[in-house]
Amino acid sequence: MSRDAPDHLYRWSRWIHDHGWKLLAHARQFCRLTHEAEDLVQEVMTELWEKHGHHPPPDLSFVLTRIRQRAIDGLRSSRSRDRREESWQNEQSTQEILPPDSPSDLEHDRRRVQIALDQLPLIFREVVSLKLWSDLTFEEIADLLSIPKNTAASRYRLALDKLRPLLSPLE
Amino acid sequence: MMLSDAELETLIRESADRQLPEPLGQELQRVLETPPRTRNSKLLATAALLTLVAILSGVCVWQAFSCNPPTRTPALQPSCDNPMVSIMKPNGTTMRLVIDQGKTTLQVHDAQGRLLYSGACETREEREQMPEPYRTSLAQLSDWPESLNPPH
Repeated sequence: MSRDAPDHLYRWSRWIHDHGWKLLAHARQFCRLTHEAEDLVQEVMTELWEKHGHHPPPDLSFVLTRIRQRAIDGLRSSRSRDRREESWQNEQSTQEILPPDSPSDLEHDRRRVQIALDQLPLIFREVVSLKLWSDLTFEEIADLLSIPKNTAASRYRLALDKLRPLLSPLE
Repeated sequence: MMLSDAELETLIRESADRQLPEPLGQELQRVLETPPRTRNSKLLATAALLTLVAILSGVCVWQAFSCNPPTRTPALQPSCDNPMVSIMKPNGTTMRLVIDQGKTTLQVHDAQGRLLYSGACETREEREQMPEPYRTSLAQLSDWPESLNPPH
């Protein structure tokens, strides 16, 4: 998108460039497969563009909230959340652990982190994603998740404690 | 060896792919090339539809009344809000129901404004005592209630 494009269009394009990956990382915490997360991001961004395209791009928190709402609606409409999580865990163990042909260090870390995150319940995964990838404060996370700020912080602490043994290098 | 909090946070933070996959990035750019909806387009469409329905309803009502004017006259009963009811007959005679000294009274004027008749008509008895043709005319003009109560 060139700088000559209409101002709002340019700003939306920049916004997607800057924050799109955060949306995808957050969506991935709700979706079993990466392409499902991509579909979710595309749906939400299309909806927002159609409704608010004449205005500057919305706040990141607002879009993350929309993604969460859509994802939870999708989870509710499935047969049962527990069964989905269970099958997800099983599929992760067979699909995602498969070693890539020649992964770079970054790609290797990315897979390790996501596999470790996938072993955590959703309430921990989303806090980690919001804190470390979307750079939200605990206050913003608390607003987004409609939970007390202390709960957001304690979930994050617990998540780190659970991730630590999964991500620490073996002796 | 366990990672410290800071090391763990750095590992997770830096593991993120900070670029959208190309197909998704292209799809989103395509979305931006589609003009967004006009603001409140749904609202405008609804308002336009309601306006159209209102206009059509008005036309229907107007046609119904212009082709078949109502034959029944409204009840001739003055009230506090409207202390005088007046009807002009085709020959120019005007019949008025007015509150005169607290009593409902029929006054009839000819086309030139001369008083032809004035008499109380609040009760059935008073109306029955009215001379013709005023009694009949009045009865034809309106559905007289059993009694015309003076306004409060």
